[in-house]
Amino acid sequence: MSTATASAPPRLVIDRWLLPNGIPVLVHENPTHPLVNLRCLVSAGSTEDTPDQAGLASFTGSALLRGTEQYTFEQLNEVIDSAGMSLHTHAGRDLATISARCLSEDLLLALDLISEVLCRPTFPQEEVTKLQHQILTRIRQAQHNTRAVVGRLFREAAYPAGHPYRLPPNGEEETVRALTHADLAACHRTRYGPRRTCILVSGDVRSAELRDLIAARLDNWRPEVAPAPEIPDAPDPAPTTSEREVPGKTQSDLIFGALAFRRSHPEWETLRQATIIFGQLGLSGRLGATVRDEQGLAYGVHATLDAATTRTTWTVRAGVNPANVDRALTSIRSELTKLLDTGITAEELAGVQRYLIGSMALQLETNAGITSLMQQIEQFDLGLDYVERRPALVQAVTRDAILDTVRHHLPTADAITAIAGPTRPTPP
Amino acid sequence: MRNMANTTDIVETRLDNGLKVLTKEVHHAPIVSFYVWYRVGGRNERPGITGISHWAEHMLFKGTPTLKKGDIGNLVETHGGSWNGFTWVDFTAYFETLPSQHLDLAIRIESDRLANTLFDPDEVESERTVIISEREGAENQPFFHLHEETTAAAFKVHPYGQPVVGWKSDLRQITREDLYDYYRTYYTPNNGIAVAVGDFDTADLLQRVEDAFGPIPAGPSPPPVRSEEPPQEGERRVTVRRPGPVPSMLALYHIPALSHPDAIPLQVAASVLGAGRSARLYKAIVNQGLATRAHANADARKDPGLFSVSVSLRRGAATTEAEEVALREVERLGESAISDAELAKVRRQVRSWFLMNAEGVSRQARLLGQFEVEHTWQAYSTYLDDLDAVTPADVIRVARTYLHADNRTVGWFLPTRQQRQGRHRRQRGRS
Repeated sequence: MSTATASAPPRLVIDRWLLPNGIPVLVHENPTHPLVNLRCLVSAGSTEDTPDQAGLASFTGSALLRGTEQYTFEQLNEVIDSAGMSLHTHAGRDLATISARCLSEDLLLALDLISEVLCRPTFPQEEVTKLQHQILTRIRQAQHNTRAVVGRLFREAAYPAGHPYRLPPNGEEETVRALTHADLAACHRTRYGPRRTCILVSGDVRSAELRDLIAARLDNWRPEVAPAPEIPDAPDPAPTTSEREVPGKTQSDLIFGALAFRRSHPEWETLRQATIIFGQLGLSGRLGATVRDEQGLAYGVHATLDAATTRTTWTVRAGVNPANVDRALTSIRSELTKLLDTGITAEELAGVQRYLIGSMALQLETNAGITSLMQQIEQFDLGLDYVERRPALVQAVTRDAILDTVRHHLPTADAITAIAGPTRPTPP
Repeated sequence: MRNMANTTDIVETRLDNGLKVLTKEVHHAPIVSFYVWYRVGGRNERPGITGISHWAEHMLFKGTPTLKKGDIGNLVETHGGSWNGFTWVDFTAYFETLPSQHLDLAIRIESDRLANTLFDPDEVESERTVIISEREGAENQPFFHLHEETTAAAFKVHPYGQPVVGWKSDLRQITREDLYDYYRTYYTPNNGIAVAVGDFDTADLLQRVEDAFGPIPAGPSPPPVRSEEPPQEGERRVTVRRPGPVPSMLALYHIPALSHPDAIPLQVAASVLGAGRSARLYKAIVNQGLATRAHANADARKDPGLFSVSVSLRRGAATTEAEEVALREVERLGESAISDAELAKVRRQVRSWFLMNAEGVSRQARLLGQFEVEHTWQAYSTYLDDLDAVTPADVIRVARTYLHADNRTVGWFLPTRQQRQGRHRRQRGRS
């Protein structure tokens, strides 16, 4: 197998250590620009929300910035903007994230602010109320957004009642309206702790100096918090077609797909390569060549394999005119049937492997790309030498392996289909 | 090759056929980003062919005698690179960012499609529905309609009032001949700018560019844009009523071109109003519970453009109060000087933004090309110094000159009453 580059394969030097309270810290020294990216991850996503408190994790993650023991919300904003840095907090399905980007001369300030927001948020009532109204508005906006609606339909078809991935991460109007300051404080108290946290840093820093700087700010943070619960694998869902009308729209969004497997599954890399060939490479792979280029049915069509520590989704998404929904679905199924019948060509396999190996140089160019890579390494336990090992992992995948994997794991008659958009014309 | 000029670390070269080449060596990573910009976009379009610049851009991915459709993306990505094309009011641009040993691939692709794009009639037809699908995807967003209608009301003469994606009736009727004529008119070396930033040797790169682009003959100068927007003499108002979640407001003020000395003070004014959660609009509107989002932008362009203030209301908030508060904040800029702390904060924010954009070669090449198309690339090099020269008095002056009611168009997106809850159909088995 040929490789994309004649130069030495990329390396990523990561210094990893544990703080005395158990927090792993991963640092990559990158002195090329006077900039630093910092990311603090906490296993405090929406998967622990109960149905009657759906949206609690997301609300709490956003509210971390709304005031701390040392700063009011307004003071925090003034300090952040005056330094020209960005500092954001957010909680999604699996993780709460505090991310900062700053000039390296502001590293100490960024560390101070992250530790303050992580360890000592106060959730002041007035700010919680304001944020609650904003979240309720966003939920209303999502109800009018075809992509959000179709995503929800698909999720509800893919995961059974009671599964943590079924609930809407941002919650429902009625559940968010019922959440209180006390709920947010309790969420922080029970879900934010050292055994659920890790810190990632890439930029113009010295790792040896960071050891002391981070320890001074976080070592005394020792709340007793239970480890994040494991998410059970969802069973195979029944094939389902769901459709919702969203008034006032021009285009329909559709998702066609199935549940695949965990990121740690031995066939994940194999299915990833098949997915890239099917719906990503170049102008959306094989799907782009037919659904977009030949048939002119959609501007956007692509396939995605999600990555998580539990069983998650393989999907095809497209935005099409409502009159063309059935044609687009037929084309997607037809392309999938071809893939399952005959697999991929040797040329396609060589191409996707050159892409995966060669594009690493672009990912390693910026601190944001490096931080994202370190997150994958830590979150999925890929090993600190993952970047060096990746070419061999990529090249170990064969055409036969891809054919075997897609036949076993991609849907044929058992797919889930979800559609959201305007009223569709009745076929003649 | 002739006319080489070197300011700081950027080298300008002009080939004999008129192609301008801007190069900047950056060696921190083995990557190069290669762009070609064309001085053509929405401003060059007339009624009847709106959207043609963007459609032509799509066609430049659909094949030449040596690169069939789909080849460009596949070739770039299988060499470890990324690629795209984009069209806006003043420009159409294409780029490849690649491991530096594959620079020749980018030069080959860009020189080939400049001279040899086929515009196959069948491909034109299949792309027509793709372009309409792109527009329809945007139509699903309420703000798209507000922006399109308010911009159309703000400009009654200049083509900046037309949507870059094109009116749907034009997209249904533009012909292959329209597209090919447009391509031959605007896609000439003398109407283009090649920009390379990254890990290369300048002399070597220029020779490769000369070898690939040099044989392409210059074309006639493209027709100039003659329309000039007359001064606005009184506020204009637009209302868009459609199904949607919450009301949104967009206020647009005419401002001068990027080349005008007032452009940077206006950008400072926009930052004071809208940059970050400590900015005036956020404090006055979002923090007070009237809106979920408030933003300001000084969109200076090649021709006189627009200063915008946009607000997305919180559910249940009063539209009149939100408008009063937002526009009052704009007026305040002309009444009293911004504080030294505000000015220092804006300078710091912009400086950080510039440094952060310099982290990747693709972003640097993009900024450099956009400055050149809309003004001059030298303005990119002096931007931070020009920013430092802005005083509080400059901000008051430009606010009084441009940000007043008679120069304003106010648009509102007002959701129509909920027609009905969306019907939900669900079935087991295959559809």
